[in-house]
Amino acid sequence: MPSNSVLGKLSAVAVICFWILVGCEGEQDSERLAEAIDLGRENVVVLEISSDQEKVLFEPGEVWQFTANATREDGTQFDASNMVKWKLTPADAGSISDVGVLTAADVSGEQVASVTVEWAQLHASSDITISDAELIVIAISAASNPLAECLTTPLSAVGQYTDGSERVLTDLTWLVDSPDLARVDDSDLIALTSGTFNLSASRGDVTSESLPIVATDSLAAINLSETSPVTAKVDELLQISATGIFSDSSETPDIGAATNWSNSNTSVLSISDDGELLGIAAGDATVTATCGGLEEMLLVTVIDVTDIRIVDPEDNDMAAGETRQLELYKEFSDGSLGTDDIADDSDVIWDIETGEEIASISEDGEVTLASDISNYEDSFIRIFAEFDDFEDTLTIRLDD
Amino acid sequence: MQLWRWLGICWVLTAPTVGAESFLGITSGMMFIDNNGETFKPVIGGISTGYFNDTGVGVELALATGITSDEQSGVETELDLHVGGYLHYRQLFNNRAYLTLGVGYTVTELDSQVNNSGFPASQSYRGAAFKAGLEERLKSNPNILLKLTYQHSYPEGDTSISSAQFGVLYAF
Repeated sequence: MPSNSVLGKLSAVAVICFWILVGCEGEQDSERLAEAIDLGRENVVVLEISSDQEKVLFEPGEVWQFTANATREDGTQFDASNMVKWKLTPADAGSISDVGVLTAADVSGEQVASVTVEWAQLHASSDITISDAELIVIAISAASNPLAECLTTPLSAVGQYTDGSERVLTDLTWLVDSPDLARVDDSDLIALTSGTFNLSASRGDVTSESLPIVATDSLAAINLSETSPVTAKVDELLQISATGIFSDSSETPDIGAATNWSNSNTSVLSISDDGELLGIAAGDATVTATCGGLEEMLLVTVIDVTDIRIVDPEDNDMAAGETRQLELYKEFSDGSLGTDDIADDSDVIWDIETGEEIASISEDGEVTLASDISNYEDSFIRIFAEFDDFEDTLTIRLDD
Repeated sequence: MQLWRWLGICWVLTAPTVGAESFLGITSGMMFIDNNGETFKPVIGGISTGYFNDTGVGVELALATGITSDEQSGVETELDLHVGGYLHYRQLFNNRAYLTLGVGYTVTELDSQVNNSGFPASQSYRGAAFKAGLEERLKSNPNILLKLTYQHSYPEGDTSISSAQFGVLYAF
């Protein structure tokens, strides 16, 4: 065994050497381990890249969303675009964001590049081509033509380029020659009412030929998701949707995009373009949904809170040592009692008004009686609750 | 509160220490590797050696390796090597027991893989560390010390590494 002092000095030297050797340098692998944990949690086994409309040919400066599709071991799939690492090679072909949005560089001629995703040990790539060929012709089409009034149909456009290629076009300006009959939202054509109109699309100096579209007069009725009279509460949202019933007896569950919503009393409620109703003040109003020359009305009564009420779920009797959870409900302007128990709402103040020497109440409205109430002179306790300037009291009798 | 603080400082400054000694021993315990909401808990074992002078100041070199691996969220992680160098101060607080506090630097080499894929393989984590311990010298053999330690490392990145270990040391 070496002597104490020798081993001591050796230990000191070893520790100092160790500190010097490790210094301030050090590779940090936290991110790779975190990435592996994410992958393990999702149990992903396959990673793939997809491009809407299988688009692989791009113009200089074009912006395009790629998607990383992950497949779990059980076969389920999900969009992992914001969980993977995106890479575009070569780097001078453009850039790609952390969520897979490609911005093609201003290349001259034609450049082939590769979009790659990585997630831990999983990889996928897709080859793309960026070409500066010029657009010469735009050809447009609608998925449905003729189209029933109040319905929506997707539009598509294909461009012909000077290099002979055909490419799917997305960033176009769409034009309807009769705005009263139809409009275009995000490459969706919405027929507002029946009639014939012309549709065209343009980019830069290139404009497509006009495409005649016929919107047929086939809407027979509008059904709303709520029936009159409907009750709404102040400061609460109520989504109303419109269903189209057509002359061939078919139903389209949501014609809300083509529906115009109006309201007879803006001091009572407001309604958005997509049928979302917001109660403003107590009162009555009529909401009207209009489409294809038809309308459907909905009577709406907006109610407001007028009081609160403490409810004992049992019989307003308590014995010594007993604990009971009280309930608290809102009372509304139409005399109805709310269905949501707000006893544990953080804005509710509970107190013992009478009998605090033998009873206590929690912030959630749970009352507890002392085990010995023999010296208490009264035969009851009184509970107090306050919420939004409303107050209520409840008297609970004490069992003998 | 101030009084207790001053009493504590006075105790540290005036409490008795023992003579200089070197030590060599074995340790075993559990490591806790936290990353991305998961905690890997491999069982580890190792050796520890060092020296304390007669004022209670000492140095320690500790090495450990994994005995078992641990799997969380499909990621299996094992400890390849954990090396730590510490500067300690220890204080006798009864005839045979010490409180030891130290600061140092650790290097931790892990090996992980998700779903048996080999990724992310070996990783290295380096950073400052602190260590606290309780030691008890055996009454029957004063050269033998039983030791309980807790060590926490602060590597860069979002991983934290700590361990709790029990050890048997031979002092000479």
